[in-house]
Amino acid sequence: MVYYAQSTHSAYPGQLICPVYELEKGTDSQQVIRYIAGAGVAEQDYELNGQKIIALAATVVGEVKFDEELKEMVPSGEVAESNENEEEETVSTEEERHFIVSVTDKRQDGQAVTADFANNLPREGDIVLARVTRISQQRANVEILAVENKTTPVDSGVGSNGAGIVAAGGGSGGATFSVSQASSDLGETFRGLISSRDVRATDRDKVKIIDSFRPGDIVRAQVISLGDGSNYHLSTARNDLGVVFAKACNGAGGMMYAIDWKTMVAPSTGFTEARKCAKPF
Amino acid sequence: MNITDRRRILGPSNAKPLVFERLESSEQAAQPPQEKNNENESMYIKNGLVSNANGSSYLELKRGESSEQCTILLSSVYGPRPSRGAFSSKASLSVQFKEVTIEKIPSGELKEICNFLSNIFSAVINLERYPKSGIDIFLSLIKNPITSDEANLEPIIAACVNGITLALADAGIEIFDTVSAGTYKRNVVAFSKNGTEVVGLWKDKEDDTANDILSVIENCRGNYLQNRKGIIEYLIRSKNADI
Repeated sequence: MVYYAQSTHSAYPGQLICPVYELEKGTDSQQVIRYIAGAGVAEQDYELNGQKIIALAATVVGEVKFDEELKEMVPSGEVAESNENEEEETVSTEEERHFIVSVTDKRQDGQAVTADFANNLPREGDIVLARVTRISQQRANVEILAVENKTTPVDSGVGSNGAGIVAAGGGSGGATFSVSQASSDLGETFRGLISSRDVRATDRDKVKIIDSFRPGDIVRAQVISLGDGSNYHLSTARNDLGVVFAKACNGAGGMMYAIDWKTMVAPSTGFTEARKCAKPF
Repeated sequence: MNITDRRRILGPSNAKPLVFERLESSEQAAQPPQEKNNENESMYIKNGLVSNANGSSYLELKRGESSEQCTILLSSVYGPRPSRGAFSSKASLSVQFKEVTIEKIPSGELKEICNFLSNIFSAVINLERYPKSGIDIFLSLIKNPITSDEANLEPIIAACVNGITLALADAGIEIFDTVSAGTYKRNVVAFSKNGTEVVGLWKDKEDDTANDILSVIENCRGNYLQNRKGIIEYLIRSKNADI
């Protein structure tokens, strides 16, 4: 019995789920199945009858899930063609299938916003939402409020944004967030900084922080490094990164809307302010 | 009392100290605790009682029939929270142990307990998963099992290991295994991987097992398997009840 086809079961920390490799034998073919540790799963060495094996074991309490990782996304038009290819290939052996094994809490599965920030700490390359806490000429200090999770296309048909970059405003392939539960009043949030050179991709040395961010703005940014002991280093040097929410007159006015990449307007008064805006669509 | 104590608000000069009636149970406690090992041991578990912690567990361990032989421990896990100071690619772990009622354990012993526990759990928690952060574990011993001598820490330490594992599982922090501890006479052995690996060994000062470490481990393992089973059953049952 192959492991990925087994019905889902509950797992507790330390429970063995499956080996790293498995050979699936059909009537006239065989297939190597590789299991990759995802969230809530770790590779561990075990000794079985004096023989060392590497197995995947759960690290949290939850339900076991197997997701097949497809090497390339095939547009729906080509599916029929690829099926034919597969049939040809069944004669030859040694096809490898990849499965990502994860253990997730069912309560949080499939929600757009989860409280599970602890297991989704910001890493290099992650997109985060952050609030600007203070600015200086060289940098803007921010506190990280949420980490955007890997996007999953919810519909494969019309209007899908695919697995690529999702616009700040959402879209059909809407992102999910892990929201930090820490209180910023207690100083328990993870902090980051956006250096003036990382605000935009062009004219880096002419950036004025004051014309890009103001304290209180909500910024969509990418983690470029874990930084030093206290700050993550963030960047907004991309079209879809920058200010997503801002209030006029240093927070005294109403919400503003982006009209181009460096201007926001308050619709009630018509005043404009300079910001480095995220592309909304 | 001719020297006036200016730092405190003193009572009236004719005040008398309160006198309480002697408890009857103190006579029973004077008897040496029966070394009927691990028989009639029962465990009560409740997770998630501390609402502001990331995860917590309440553990009641009863040994025998008498309610005196009962350990009550509340463990709470906070974090991962950002750690200030130097960069570290791993999480740092801290364990604090406190007796909330009568403080019987000397502070040196307390430190030893904390070191012992943080050594175990540094190996068990997937610390690489939480860079730049700290995980704090707070243990509150609500009820100390009354024993004739005060150096008997073995039931407390076993409760600590089991309590922390439960609290970490409740917090959803990644741990490599459901670590649990078993006791035998004055020894505590913490195991992982279904009893094939020893992750911690505690020996109380005066024990009569001499140096027969193998038999100690073997006896602890039986107790460990029983505790582990209880923990896992609770975790699975409470998870299914939530959904």
